Amino acid sequence: MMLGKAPTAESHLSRRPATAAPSGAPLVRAEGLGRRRLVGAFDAELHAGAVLGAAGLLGSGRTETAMLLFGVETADQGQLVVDGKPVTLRSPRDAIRLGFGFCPEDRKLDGIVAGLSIRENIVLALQAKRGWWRRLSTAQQHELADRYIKLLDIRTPDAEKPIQLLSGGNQQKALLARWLATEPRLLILDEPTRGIDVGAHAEIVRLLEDLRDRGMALYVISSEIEEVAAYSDRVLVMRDRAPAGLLEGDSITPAAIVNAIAADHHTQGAA
Amino acid sequence: MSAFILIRLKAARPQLALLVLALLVNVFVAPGFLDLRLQDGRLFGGLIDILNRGAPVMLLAVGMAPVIATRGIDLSVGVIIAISGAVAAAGVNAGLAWPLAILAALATGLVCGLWNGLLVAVFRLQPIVATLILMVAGRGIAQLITEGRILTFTEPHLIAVAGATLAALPLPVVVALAAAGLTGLLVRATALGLFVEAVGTNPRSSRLAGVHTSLVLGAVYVWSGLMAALAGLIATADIKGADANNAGLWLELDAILAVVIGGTSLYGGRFSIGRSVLGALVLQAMRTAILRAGLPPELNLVLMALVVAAVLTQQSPAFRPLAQSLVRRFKNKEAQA
Repeated sequence: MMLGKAPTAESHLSRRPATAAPSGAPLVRAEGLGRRRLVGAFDAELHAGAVLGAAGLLGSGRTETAMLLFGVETADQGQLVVDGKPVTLRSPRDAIRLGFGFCPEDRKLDGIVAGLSIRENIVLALQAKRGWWRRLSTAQQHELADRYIKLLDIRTPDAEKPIQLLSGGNQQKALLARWLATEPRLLILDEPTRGIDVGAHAEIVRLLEDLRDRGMALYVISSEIEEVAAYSDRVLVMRDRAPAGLLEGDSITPAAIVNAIAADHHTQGAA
Repeated sequence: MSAFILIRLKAARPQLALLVLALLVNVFVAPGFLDLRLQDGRLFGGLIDILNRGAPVMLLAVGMAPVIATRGIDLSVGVIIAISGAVAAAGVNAGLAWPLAILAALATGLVCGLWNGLLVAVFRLQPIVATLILMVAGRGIAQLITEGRILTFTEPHLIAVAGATLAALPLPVVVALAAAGLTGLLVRATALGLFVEAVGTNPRSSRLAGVHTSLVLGAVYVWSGLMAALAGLIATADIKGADANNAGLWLELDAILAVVIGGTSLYGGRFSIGRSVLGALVLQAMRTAILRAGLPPELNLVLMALVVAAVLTQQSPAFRPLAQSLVRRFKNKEAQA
């Protein structure tokens, strides 16, 4: 099995959302979730096997929605419902316990632990989830790292190389591996394809589609509007740190997203 | 297992080389230095002296290494030696049974560590400032306990902490080596070592990956406090009294040096308990050599400082290219001549 490979003639930007529209009870539902001075109340539904995209300009509040969904910041309004039960996330650890994962926007600052090896970076989240007492043996760590290096085609001679020596795309794949190792139900990705070469870019998009087809819920924040339009089942559009619209089904086109992002900028400019 | 030990030894080559060098100087100034003799079931000799005298700093270094690996520092360990020693001495003098006095001293170290950990992990004070608070206040606390005097005691069991023999070795040596072994096991047989190194390298990423960063930070300071209390018991038992003014004075600096000589960067990240212990022994061997050479004691600190400066410069990443280019230039000149 190799996730995210098998390139086809088809462009990775052609629209390929989930085969069946998301239905039934959502895995995660945000109801008017927000935090003062961070982001205004927004609604979001995340279904297993579906992608919720988030679009908007830089500083529109997209990253902040992810921070609330992953417990990096604690919401002070609205509620988060997971598996039909209301939950409060006080830290990323709470979110991880519920089966969430988060690939942050700033890979260097918030993602990789530069100085540690690729292996240590890959096992970090799973080890943290298991707790300090139940250490993954060195053999288990090697097995895990080697498996994901092969699975995601991370280009490295071995797993012991310091992670900062990898290219941006391979660092991103290693971070994805870190979360996949925890077998998450929901993966939150903030700009997963930023600053990555074209080849790795396409691989990561295909990987996300694969994960979705295997039943994972995905929340993908991206400035690449074509890309968001291609794989999303729903798109949350953010503007001025508040939700500005939700696009669904056939209404998801790059043009529609751009329109929603820009909608009343002209009127604001006139005012 | 033997392959594992071999890898560790290989990583410790610079520290082992330094130690051998320092021991050779000892042999040079005191020819009988390497002689070992067994008398009344206890080993005597220059090497044993270095282990015995070095035990307190070894203990401090064992506690300091994980702290420095989290990009922190613990300036209060010297003072914790004074406080815990004072507690033990005051305890036995007040009629407390010796095991309870020892437990009270260790508990004091834990509380001191907990205080430091609280300031660093929960209130997010910079470690140097957070532990400076106790460093400044601690001598006063110790003086309050000893009521400003040197609190001598005659309790034989407490004195035995420094004087007893176990497995032909002085008890402080056994305690220090056992503490180092236990700490090494604690960080490498569990995931604590990985968490400490991850938090020290990138606390933000570690938190986002689910590492309980405040717990890890707090734990290393608590452990450091406990190790310092053990060192305090040894130091107090050694002089059969608690000296609030001088016990452990400046030893925090020795501990930091030992850890740095052991190859742990003050910027946090990778650390090694074993190499930090070797660093402590290097310092002790140097000190012994200087003393045995009969140099005026004023010179001790200056010489130590020079050696340490040389060791650290050699480890600095900025130094190597500089040295290499100097060597190259020198060779070119020779070729021209």
